[in-house]
Amino acid sequence: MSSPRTTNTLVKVDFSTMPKRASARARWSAQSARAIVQKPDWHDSEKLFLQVFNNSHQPMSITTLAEGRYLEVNPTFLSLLGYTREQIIGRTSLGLGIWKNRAQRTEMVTRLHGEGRVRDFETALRGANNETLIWVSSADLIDIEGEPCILIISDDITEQRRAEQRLQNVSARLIRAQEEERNRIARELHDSLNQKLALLCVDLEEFSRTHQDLDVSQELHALCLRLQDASDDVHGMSQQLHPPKLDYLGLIPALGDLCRELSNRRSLRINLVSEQDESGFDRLDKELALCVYRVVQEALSNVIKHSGALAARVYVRKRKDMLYLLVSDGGKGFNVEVARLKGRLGLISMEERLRLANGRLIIRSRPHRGTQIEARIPLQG
Amino acid sequence: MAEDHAVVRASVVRLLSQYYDVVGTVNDGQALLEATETLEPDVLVVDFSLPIVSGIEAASILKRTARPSKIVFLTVHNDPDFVRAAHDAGALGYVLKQQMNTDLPQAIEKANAGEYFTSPSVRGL
Repeated sequence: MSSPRTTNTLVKVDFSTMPKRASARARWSAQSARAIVQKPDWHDSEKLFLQVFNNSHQPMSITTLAEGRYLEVNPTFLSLLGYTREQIIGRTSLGLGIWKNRAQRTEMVTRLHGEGRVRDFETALRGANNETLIWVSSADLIDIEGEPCILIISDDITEQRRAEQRLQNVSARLIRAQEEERNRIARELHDSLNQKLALLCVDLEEFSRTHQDLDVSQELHALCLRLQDASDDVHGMSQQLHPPKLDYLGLIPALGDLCRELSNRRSLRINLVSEQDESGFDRLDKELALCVYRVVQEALSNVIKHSGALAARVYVRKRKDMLYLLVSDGGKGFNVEVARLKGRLGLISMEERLRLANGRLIIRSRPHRGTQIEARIPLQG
Repeated sequence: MAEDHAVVRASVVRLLSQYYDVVGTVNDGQALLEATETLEPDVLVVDFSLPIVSGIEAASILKRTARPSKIVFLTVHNDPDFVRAAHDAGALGYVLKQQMNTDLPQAIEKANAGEYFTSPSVRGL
């Protein structure tokens, strides 16, 4: 730093306004770097720029706009992509195969032509060892000795993406494990315990029929009724864990049961409307039917717990390529962002289930304006 | 007679043997389809929830064959939706397991004569 005055000025600009978010940092760096490059006091600025450039933990590169030929890259850029300086400088990014999707460079260049800069541009890159890297980049048009060039400053979010992917895999496995466990217990209750209770009932009735003593016979009949009551309870528990109708009769009868049962237990009138084309609900994939059932169950449980509404509507429509679901109420409503931030489990579980089915969830709600939970799931064939 | 629960199967066979000739017992829906073709029984007694092919699916398949079978469902599902589904699949009888001693022989007689029978204690029909 030959001139202390210039250095001071730059330090003041640089670090007092340092943003916290990484992408914002990239944005700032690009702007300040451009400012430095364009400063008339070229010699001092160039030195400082090179110092920033070479010491930054963010990968940076300068390429020609026309061909994407590398003029300069920093050590972070090289180490992340696994190249040596000699392998890179003077060659083009497309020639080296660094862009996994060549169209992304075209898009970046187009946007640079239009707006002069690009922000938060997510790219998939290929490293020297053929590994995939995800970078979020800021790009600025700069002029180097008359040639239009691109200065790209990026954040490597590959590890973050991997962590997100792992987290999603874990939640998918959790949902599957939970369903399998519920199904297993439901079957155990229904197929084993309930069958045994039914047989007990049969034997007891038989014993009562053949018994001569009227009092004993009546007592036995009363016992049998209690046994049937217990059997009904077991059946109910099994049904709540995993509705047998879903497996044997399909989505709509199962939803009908759910709506009827909730209507009877709570002071909520639930109206179920379904519409289908000739393909029908019958051939709906079982896992998908379960997903829709659980989303409706969760949505209605939210209506009951939070909305204060007296009526709710469940609408399911099946078309050849799309299943559409809408659960709506005219209740209190809520602030969707707040609910999301609080990480309300219901919302997360609905979103996760739909994501597993390649579907998406749209929640529309405002305080005092009711709530609409909408889901769209693409169907194959 | 198709039933995957061994204890129930034994109990039903014991009951039916008093009145009928039980020509075959199977554990799953696939075996039911095969046995029906080879044994040609007069009446089938079928559980709703069978492995591989469920009882209701098997009934729908049999309904579409050249010689539709006379089917009596024997089940613990006390539910009118299940009864309707059974009828839609071509079944004539619907008997609750809890009432099989009194209801099953009646249902089989009726089915053999081409008539419907549903356990009177089925709720909400």
